[in-house]
Amino acid sequence: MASTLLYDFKRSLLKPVVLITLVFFAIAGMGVSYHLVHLSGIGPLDYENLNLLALYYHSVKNSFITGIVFNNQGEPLPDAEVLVMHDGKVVNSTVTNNQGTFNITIGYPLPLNTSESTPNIVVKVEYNGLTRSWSNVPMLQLGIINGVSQYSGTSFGALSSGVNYGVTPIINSSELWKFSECVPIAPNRSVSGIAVLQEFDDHLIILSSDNLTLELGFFHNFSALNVSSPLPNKKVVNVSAFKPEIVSLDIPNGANCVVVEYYLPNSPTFVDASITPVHPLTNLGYEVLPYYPSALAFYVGFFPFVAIYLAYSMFTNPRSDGALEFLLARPVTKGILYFNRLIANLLTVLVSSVIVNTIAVLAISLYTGIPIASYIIIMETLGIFTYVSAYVSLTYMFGGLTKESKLALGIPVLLSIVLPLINFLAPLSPNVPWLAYVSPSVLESYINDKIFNISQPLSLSGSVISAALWVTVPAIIGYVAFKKEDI
Amino acid sequence: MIKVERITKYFGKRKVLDDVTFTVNDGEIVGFVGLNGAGKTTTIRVIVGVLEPNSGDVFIDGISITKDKRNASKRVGWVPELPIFELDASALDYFVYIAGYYGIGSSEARELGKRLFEELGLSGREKDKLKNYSQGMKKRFALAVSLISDPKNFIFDEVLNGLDPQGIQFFRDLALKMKKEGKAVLFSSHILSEVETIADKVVFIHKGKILKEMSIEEIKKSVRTRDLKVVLGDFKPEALAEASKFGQATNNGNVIIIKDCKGDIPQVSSALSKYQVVEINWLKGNLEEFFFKIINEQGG
Repeated sequence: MASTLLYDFKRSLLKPVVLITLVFFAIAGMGVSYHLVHLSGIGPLDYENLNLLALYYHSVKNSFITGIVFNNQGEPLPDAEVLVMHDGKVVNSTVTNNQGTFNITIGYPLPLNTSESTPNIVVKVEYNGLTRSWSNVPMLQLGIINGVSQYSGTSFGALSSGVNYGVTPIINSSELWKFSECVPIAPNRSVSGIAVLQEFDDHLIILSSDNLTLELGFFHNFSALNVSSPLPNKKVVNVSAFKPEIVSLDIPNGANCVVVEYYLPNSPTFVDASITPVHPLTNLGYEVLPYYPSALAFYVGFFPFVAIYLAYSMFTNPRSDGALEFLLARPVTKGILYFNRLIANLLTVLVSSVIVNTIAVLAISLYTGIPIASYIIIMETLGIFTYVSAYVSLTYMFGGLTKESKLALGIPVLLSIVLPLINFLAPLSPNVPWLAYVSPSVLESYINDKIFNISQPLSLSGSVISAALWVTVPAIIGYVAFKKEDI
Repeated sequence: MIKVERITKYFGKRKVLDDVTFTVNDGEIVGFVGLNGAGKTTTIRVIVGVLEPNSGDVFIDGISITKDKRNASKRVGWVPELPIFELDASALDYFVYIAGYYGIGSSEARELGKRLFEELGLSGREKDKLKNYSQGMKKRFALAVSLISDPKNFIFDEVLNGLDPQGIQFFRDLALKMKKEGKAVLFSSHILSEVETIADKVVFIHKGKILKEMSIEEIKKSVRTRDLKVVLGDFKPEALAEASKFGQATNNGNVIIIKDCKGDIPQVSSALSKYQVVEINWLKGNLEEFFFKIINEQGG
């Protein structure tokens, strides 16, 4: 009997309308990714595979820029061209070495502490046709006031005996990093210092203006943190001043936040600590992916119509025109015939759901570099599958209840237009908490709530029961009617 | 053997089969005769398990179609008058699909399909969509499917309708071949001359009831008349006058028909011998006349 199910599935899947739809699903998957990127408002610079991390510092006579160029995986990029421009003129240039680092000396201090109203310094990196530029945003160099370093925008500064030894971080990187730190490390010292850390994939890029010891600890949740106690599974990293470091990390599975403690040389206590959430799908993913259901909904809104047509062509219509009669004269019961076809249709819906979600997530990953979110593929597939399957079941139900194929087709189509209105009414009816569970898409809403936190809170058991009932009850009613009625 | 036992079937409140009972024995062709709407096709649909009777049962080789359908269905083949398939499927693929319900694997079914397609004149059309098949080809395809399990029982429902003479000959010969092989064949047709030619027994159904179940010999006996047909080699008007002594005689050329003849064949032959009797026979009624006669006896 497995071969007949396979054949039904093959016929179900290879119907021209389904094949056309699958092609559409593939296009829709790409459309979802495109739509998603635009919905979330990100641009190429947010995911371009070229990153710059540097420090600007200066003495009375010279200023210097030391930094590193690397890709979105945290790997150094040698031979990247670095240009420094001042007032629109190139004042110096270099290329990165094998470690992706560079040093540029400029024969005079750049006027960072002026009150110019437009950017006047540009650091530009070019690599394989990609470009990143950093422009200085004019700021007031506030220095130390009452012994505390003042921070404004992206720069730190301090005045010591009237001489500016300010250090300015130069950062222009994609938004993919899981955490990024830019902190003053010597707030009570006469010479200012900063450490810049960025994590790309499993690499940590560090650039500090002072010799530094870092201790990193990973936690599963914020509530478990107690920064005054020793860090569990800590990793210790020693950094030399103005020497970019790339450190490989071994982030424990399930870690969703990181604590970084900074120690100055010969100092027993940490000077600062920072707690940063680690987003498994990167910061960019954290920003972009919540738009996934909206982008998906735009394309899958008509999936129920395809499913209804599929069920119509596999069950309702053959029943109506008498084609099932010839089959029923074979060694097969009504039950086997009915459920074989129902399961074949449901498998087709499942495959279609997998295709659209897989292509969407793969396209997003290829487009932006956000890691492939397999759990989104699985969970959203489950959501779409249960939602669309309800319409398959409804069509089987009406196909079982009546031999009038137009009626058996028309009612599910009408329901596919009416039932989604519940999703709009439910949030507007707080006094009717069960209303949301009447919708066939309740499990999809639950999944969206759990993954993206974007819909009304729903209970797992209620959502699962509702989704299961939407699929099973119409299917059983259809079967009972089909069995009872003459073919 | 197909044994139909007291089948009653309602469509809604309308009783369409009323206590239908008959048997088709192995090695026997049974003609199933009735007017349109008499209940022939409904009876057949119950026999093959497409419809469930409200009461009664059908036993295929002793297996109940209502209680053990899958087993019973393997033992009976059915070629309907107008086979309806899912037309988007290609013929051999659909054959393989249906063979799956007989528990036959894909590759074995494909081989079997090719062989049966060849035997039934469908060779070269295996990949065609069923929608491109003619009515005759659809019936041959239905036959191929019915032969998957080489069943011992076969039902042809008005299978000769819409066929060309070659097609009619094919199914007539097939039914006779099956009979020779010891199979039980139920042959429903409104072409009563065909039924008369091949059937061993005829079951008459009218308004959902079995009117009569008779062997073809019994039918032949009961349709004999007292009308005598004489063909003369040398017809003369005097011959007609001579023939009129035995009954109401009319002629058409050299053929004389004596209605309700009072003499027997030797007497009439002797009386007309001088006009060269070439042929002399009692006229026989056919199955159609007999069928309408029994309907009239039942009050129409």
